Amino acid sequence: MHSIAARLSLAASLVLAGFVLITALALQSSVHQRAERARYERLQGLIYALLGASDVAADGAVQVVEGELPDARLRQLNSGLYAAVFNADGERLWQSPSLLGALSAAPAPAVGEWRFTELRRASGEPLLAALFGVEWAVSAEHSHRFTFAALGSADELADQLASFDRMLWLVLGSFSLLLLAAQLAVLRWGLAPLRRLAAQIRAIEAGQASQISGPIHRELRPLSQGLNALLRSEQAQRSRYRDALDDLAHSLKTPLAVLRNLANEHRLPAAERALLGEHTARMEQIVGYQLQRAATRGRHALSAPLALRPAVERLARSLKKVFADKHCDFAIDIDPSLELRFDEGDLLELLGNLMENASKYGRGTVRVTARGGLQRGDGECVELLVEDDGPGFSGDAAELITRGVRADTHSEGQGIGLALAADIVRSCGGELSLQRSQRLGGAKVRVSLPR
Amino acid sequence: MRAIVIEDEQALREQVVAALQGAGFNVDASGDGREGAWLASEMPADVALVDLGLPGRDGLQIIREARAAGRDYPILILTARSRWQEKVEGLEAGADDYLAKPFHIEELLARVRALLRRSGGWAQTTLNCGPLALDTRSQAVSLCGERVELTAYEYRVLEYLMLHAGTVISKSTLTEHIYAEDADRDSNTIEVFVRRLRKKLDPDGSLQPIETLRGRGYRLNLARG
Repeated sequence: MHSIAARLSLAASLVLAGFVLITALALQSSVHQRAERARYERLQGLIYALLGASDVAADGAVQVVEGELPDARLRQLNSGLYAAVFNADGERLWQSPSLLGALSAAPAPAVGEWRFTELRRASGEPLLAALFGVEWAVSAEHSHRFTFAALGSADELADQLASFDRMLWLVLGSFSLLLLAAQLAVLRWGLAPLRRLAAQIRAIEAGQASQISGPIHRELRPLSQGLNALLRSEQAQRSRYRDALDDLAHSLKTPLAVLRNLANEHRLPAAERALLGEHTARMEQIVGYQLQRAATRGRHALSAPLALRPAVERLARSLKKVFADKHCDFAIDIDPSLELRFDEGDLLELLGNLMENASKYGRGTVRVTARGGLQRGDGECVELLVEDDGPGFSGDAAELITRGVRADTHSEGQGIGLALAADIVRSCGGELSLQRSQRLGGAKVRVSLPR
Repeated sequence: MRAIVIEDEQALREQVVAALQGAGFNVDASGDGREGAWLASEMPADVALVDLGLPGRDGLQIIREARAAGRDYPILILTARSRWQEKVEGLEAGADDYLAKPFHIEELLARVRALLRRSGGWAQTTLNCGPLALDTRSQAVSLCGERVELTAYEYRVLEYLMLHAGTVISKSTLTEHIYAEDADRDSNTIEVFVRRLRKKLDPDGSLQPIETLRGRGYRLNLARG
């Protein structure tokens, strides 16, 4: 389960459901028991009243004064409240006018003993029965054994309990729903700081902010401070790294320039000059390529989106200046709203190398095209084309982009430029391929970059 | 031609200065950013070579200040930081070309000559004015296809006038751009060079390539071709 809100909701719902269920069951069972006991107590009272209203003849005949019956319902047929008197053999000696018809056999409790049980009428109506064993002395020597019974309809109680149950579940159910809703609201409120933090991180990603700011809740403060420190140190480290490489580049390349020019000194023997020239050239190539490569940052999760067209236009203006003799004409076909998440230095490096080669090797017409919204693999990508009207790539040009070898020893930097461009493209998960331009007839470099 | 070289690495600066002097330039050089900025903004120059990583003041800053001071000579950036971001920033600051270190001295000279030609409005390496042709790479001058032998100073005067063909160049400007700072600056010698040039280029007086404008200077009057 990947959502904290879902976790908390699920746990809270389970606890709530368990709590409500146990409460309901306990309440239900206790209420049922009490209702049943109350019912039996009422039946007991009825038996005492019945005893008071009864008279037994010497021969054991039972007489009940109906006018003294304690409950009017006993006189009303099928009223749900009944009474009866059995002799020791279980024969029914008397019954209340409300009771008509046979009864299932009643057990005979011992004298002075109460028995609570369930009996059934012939109609099948279940009855709750309180039975009391009585020994009735009619003279000093004679006594008769009876069982007094008071019976109440079990259906009536069941109906009452069922309506209680319905009420119970209804009330508890609605309370559960209310509680659940309250819990979700509390959860939402409680998790709001986390959502705000996530929104701030998204803003940093989108380049709209550089740090997490605003009021931060105490529990999240270590996290936001940690993130801010991480961002700061990452930025500082990047610029330190870049500065260190710049220093390294400067301190290596300047002495190399001195050595290289020494190789042209006519005072030195020709053989040494050649050796010196060859080795300084190799060192230069290695130093130049590796330093540039190391300075490539690649695509950065926290890079701000960068508009492509202004970068291309800047380079076109610069290259027009550098190749002023060629009167380079740059045709730029890029939607001004097209953006890339890319480090600015790397983007300029990539475009600069490709556009410089196109300006240098073409006859003056360079075409830069870009389109967004293309699907490639798992995401959207931007396709960039740099075309020229020069001689195009030689056969071994493909080797250039894989190994960074110079294809043209007369023109320096061509191989390194293309290899670097390929390196930058690779570092951000894009693709670079060399083709022939149909439109201009020269070289065409096709680059696809993840957006 | 006057060149300014601002480069903090002494060995490289000396090589560059020697190469430029060998190619006939008068060079003002400095290894310090602040002094370099003063040179770039105050000294007369036809071209400047500026390193970007300098002590005292950033090369970009020097270029911006020189441009803000109204100096319009071409500027070549020499940089070890060969990333495009720096190149673009340098070019946007007002430089005209860049050269990544390490470089061949020949390439540096070729770039400098190309910048000078371009700043004079010339597209090719050979300057053609009427029957007169001057190859900036070989420093050879020919008239109607016939080679003309010139001394180093004569060549410098002619190259400067041809680069700025059609423009009036004062004697003092010519003096500034032809002589090293510490040399004897006698403007009369300029008149001597011009007289000799006229004799060599126009022995029969039919071409009249260099016009004298009294009190203002000289102008090369042949049509650019």
